[in-house]
Amino acid sequence: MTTRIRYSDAIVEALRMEMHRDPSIVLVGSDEQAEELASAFGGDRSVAVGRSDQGRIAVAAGAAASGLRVVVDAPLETLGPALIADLAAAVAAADEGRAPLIVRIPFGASSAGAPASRRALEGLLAIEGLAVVAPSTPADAKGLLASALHGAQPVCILEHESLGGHVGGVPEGGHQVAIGSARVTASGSRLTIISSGPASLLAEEMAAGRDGEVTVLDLRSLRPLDRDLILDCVRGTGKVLLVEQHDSPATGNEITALIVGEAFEYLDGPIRRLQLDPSDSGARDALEAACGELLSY
Amino acid sequence: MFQDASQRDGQSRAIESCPLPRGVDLELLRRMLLTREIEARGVGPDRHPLPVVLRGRSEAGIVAAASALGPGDRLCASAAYAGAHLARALEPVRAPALPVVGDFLAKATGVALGTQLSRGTAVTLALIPAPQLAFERAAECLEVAVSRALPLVVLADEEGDEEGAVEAALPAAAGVGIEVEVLGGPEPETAYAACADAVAGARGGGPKLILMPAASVVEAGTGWGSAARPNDAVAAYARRLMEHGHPREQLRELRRQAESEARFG
Repeated sequence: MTTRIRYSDAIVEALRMEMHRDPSIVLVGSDEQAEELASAFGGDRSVAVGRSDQGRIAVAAGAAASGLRVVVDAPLETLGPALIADLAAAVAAADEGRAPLIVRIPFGASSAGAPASRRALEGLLAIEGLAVVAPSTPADAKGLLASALHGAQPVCILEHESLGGHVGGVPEGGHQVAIGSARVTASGSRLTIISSGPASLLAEEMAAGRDGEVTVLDLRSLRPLDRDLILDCVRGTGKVLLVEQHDSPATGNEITALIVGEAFEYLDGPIRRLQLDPSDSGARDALEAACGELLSY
Repeated sequence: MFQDASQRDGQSRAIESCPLPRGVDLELLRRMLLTREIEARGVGPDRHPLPVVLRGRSEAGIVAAASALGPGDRLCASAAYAGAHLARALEPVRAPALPVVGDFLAKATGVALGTQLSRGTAVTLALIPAPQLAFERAAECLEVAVSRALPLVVLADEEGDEEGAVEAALPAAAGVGIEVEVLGGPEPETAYAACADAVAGARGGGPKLILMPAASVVEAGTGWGSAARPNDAVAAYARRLMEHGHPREQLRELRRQAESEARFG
């Protein structure tokens, strides 16, 4: 059974379900979030640290180090070197068997292209052992958060601002999406588009009008990558378009290296990379043009 | 000598009122000397400090404060407080690997929160430079600690070039409503006693802020008793131990041990 709910509601649903299941889960949030969940779980398990993003994530890192399973939110651009170091320490603590830290990271139009956001994302993707996921649908938002709260590893969840109101079908009850698993959202035989977040929704929409030509792979997880599925798709189509919207080339670099190293002989054309802001009015045209160019090889 | 406790406003305590048990007093000195040796190795041959800057001018009080923690208690402090980590039995060879950046008051608040929610009995001690208390996030963390009666002790110290930071922090602390004690300086016996009291109080629930101003003149060094360092807290402490009957040779042996233990790498 599925119900159609908004992306933001799917996240709250996952939090509610998992907090009911596991009493060691605690939310360290901005004032509004903390108040909302405090009404459901009591003030004990919902701590408001609303005036400082830096303070909030440091409090959360400390609580996670002492054995709690902590969910905290911090905008991408606030993740400076000290907080990246805190996350790296959280990874080390998780390796020692202590509970993980789950960081929800809103980002999007307001921070797009900002050097601080780019550096922050590159810093996150460089931490060995830290998972970074970017759900594009309400079902994935619920499932990936639930998996993070069941797992033993620190996870950063990139939540694009434009997706908050996006409505989609979400399985009722317990629903998990494995971290590190990508998803084919459209199947075609001539070209693979690899993307994540809102850009993958745009790619899926475009592929629907191309009648079986284009495979769309929604990464869902930027680290670790679903290497097997990426290679399967590339081997099946021979052409690759990487659509990036996260202001960082790190994931694209990793995927390019993977394809060149493991599936070079299957390529029928160059690997193209397209920087795209899906909220731009010209995004669809840019995507169509890039596809057309690759399909002409 | 340090400013006497009676010369300061607010809560304080006199040095004479808190002599340490025999054995504990020597262990404190050993830890201070070990810290000095680590610090001395953090200075290059041209006397320029290496990137890791130790808060060497208050290490006597810092070592003593950390020594007041119980076995299961937690310490949250940067590598600059190497003396506190050594007092918590960190091996000297691991001292340079400690993090030097981060918001340790916020982390300590989180650790104390975790302890409280998991029904633990540990107290968390945060060591931070007093100027950090001026940050908005510090005030917010103290508010969380007060509102939830967290088992947290915060000791904020002042280096020579930060003079006035302790005084400046008082109004903000009063605004937060946290219990505050102001020490006379980085004097080990009062720091130990104040921290031990605060830890005992925090274990029952409720945070405390201890403010430790800088001594008026302090120079780092590995010796004691020198006329050139009359206000060195470590030297003053060693002299008091001798006055209390510890043989000079015993203290020299502690220094030799510290020199030997700190020779790593």
